[in-house]
Amino acid sequence: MILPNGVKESDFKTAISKFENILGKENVFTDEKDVFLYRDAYSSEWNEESEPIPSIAVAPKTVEEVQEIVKVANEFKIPLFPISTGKNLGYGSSAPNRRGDVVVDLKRMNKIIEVDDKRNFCILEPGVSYFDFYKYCEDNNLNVMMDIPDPGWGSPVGNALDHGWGYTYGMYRDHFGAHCGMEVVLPNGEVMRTGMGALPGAKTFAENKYGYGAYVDGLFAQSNFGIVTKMGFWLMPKPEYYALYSLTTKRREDIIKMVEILNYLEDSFIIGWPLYRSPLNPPHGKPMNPELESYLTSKNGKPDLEKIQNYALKNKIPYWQIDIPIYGNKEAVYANAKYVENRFKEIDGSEFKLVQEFALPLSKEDISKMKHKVSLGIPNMEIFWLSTRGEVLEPQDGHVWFSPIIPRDGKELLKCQDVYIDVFHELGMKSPITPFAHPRSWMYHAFCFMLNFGNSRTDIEHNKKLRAAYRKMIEVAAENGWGDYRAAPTFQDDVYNVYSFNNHILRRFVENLKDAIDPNGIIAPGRGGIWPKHAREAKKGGTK
Amino acid sequence: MRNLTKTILFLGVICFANANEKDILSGGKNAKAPKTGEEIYNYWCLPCHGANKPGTKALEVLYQGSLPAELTKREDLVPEVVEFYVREGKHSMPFFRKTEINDKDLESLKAYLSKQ
Ligand SMILES: Cc1cc2nc3c(=O)[nH]c(=O)nc-3n(C[C@H](O)[C@H](O)[C@H](O)COP(=O)(O)OP(=O)(O)OC[C@H]3O[C@@H](n4cnc5c(N)ncnc54)[C@H](O)[C@@H]3O)c2cc1C
Repeated sequence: MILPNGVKESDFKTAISKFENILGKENVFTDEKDVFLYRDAYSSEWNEESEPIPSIAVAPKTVEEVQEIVKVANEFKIPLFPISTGKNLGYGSSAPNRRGDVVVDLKRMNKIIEVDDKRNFCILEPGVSYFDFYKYCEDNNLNVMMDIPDPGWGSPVGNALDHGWGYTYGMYRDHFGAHCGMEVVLPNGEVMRTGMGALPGAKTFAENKYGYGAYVDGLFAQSNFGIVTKMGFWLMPKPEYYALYSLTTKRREDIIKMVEILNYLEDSFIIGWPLYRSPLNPPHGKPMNPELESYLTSKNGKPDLEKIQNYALKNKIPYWQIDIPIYGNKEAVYANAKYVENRFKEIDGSEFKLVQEFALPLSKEDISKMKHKVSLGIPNMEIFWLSTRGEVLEPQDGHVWFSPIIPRDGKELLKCQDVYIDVFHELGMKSPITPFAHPRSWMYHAFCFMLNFGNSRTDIEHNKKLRAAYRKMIEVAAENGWGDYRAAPTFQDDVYNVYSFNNHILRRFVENLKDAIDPNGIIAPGRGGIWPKHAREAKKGGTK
Repeated sequence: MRNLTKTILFLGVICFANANEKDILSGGKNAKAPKTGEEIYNYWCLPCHGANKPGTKALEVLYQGSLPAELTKREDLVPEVVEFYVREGKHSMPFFRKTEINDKDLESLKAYLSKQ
């Protein structure tokens, strides 16, 4: 049996029987086969000694049960690691940061407490998935939608607590930013409500974020200060009309002007989420044109920008393509589209076309035709194209994302491409980044310039190389002023380490709070790079 | 007797109202859990294994027409195979925990897919 860190087997056995008394035997998973279902299927440490497999998992149904579990954990100093739906694939899945820590699986807490389509908010428990929420709204004919991430099986609560992102207007796309009000079980087992929720009987738990006084909600995301048992979210009313347009331009440098214009349009709420990409990339699963591919290394192992550009011009392939959604009523959508088209006329050779348009409510057939279902809050799993078998690809065993934030600026993006390409050249690895790699624009005032490192469930050496490359990327990005927004547990210490202004004052500040609020260090040790005191001391070889 | 029922009903309403008054966040509906084999398949598997979906596409490439790629069109699925993939996953398909598909649900899913 894997034991929780620092816990004696006899104590753990007593604790398990207490957990069983609280939850019933069937909700305490101790059998190795069941516990292994809490491994991170995309772990880059799969089958290595360091792989963070929990000792056991417990699955409460109510807030009171969560409180009871936390109290037992305090009694025996058992570290707990909460997950909501545990679908954080690519960033850790359902596994704890540290091998042996007990997973608190909140999937059974799946109450939809309230959805209001006049005041446009909802209040949810952690186990409610995006699919569940969508179905509830459709079944009840509610005129609201929630901004969602690509895979629909995760939860609004879990996703927001890992600073996840989606695909509509900026303010909704920021899932933590769109949350309003929290209920948390603190490390001592007490229940706290934040914001307006701190006022008993408050009627605006999910409408006004701040209540009165210091705003503490941020302490519960990408961190370890409590177990969140309820969250409110702001919702977007469904628009009457939706149209998707496509903008293409011819030259690599066009991205500089394009970003400038798109920033204006986005920040003025004229357009929704701009999906940047380059048609020079082949459709998923198809091979890249061999001629084009050869230019990626034809200049002493590095890309020949001129040849790539000429190839695009000669073959009439646009260098960039941006999908642009516009929401509103029909007249407003068309008027905005006209305005957007005019703004882009200053880019020589740009083309702006309607791709598809829909009046809401959507029929089943409309939904099946929609190119970006997520841009109307319709959950699905289609993004799993990314890692399943394409025509020329072996299927991946999953991936770990490298997700640094860079400025929303075309020049900086082009620089970022060069820097990444140089790193991979130095490492002697094929660069996953090309001179036509695109930014991700979820962060509505910044770009994420991410990479997906394929992990393996069979090849430990491959994973070791992946980890070395990932860590190198963190360093190089930081030297350029780019820091990751999110990372799998394996890399969370490395990421937090580069956020080092004034001798790591941010981390030291948070550690002070951690020591005060969770002196036994029982909630998610290591999550977000925050360790309880005894673990920090053990790492340094002990203070005494 | 009728009076007793009335009183119990009345007390019930009072208790409920009190709970609500004390805590406006105590209500709510459990998200609907799928029950039958077909519902479990539709909820957990169909988003990837339905027609034209990523799991189906992956299997299309693997089988090259030798077997149907949609799980519901397979005639050779046996319960053990279904259980293996649900609990072991494959490539980027992760395994499913018991709070997602419990043993009873898995039995229904196995029966549904092996009867297709
Ligand atoms: C192909 C693919 C595409 C993806 N696309 C997106 C995307 O578009 N946008 C995006 O944001 N992500 C994306 N992801 C990442 C991930 O799948 C989603 O973010 C997913 O929603 C996270 O899972 P979850 O909601 O189940 O969170 P969980 O796994 O439940 O939670 C995430 C983490 O938050 C913490 N936590 C969870 N619940 C609690 C709680 N109640 N109290 C305290 N701490 C808690 C835990 O540390 C947990 O590990 C993608 C992943 C893949 C594989």
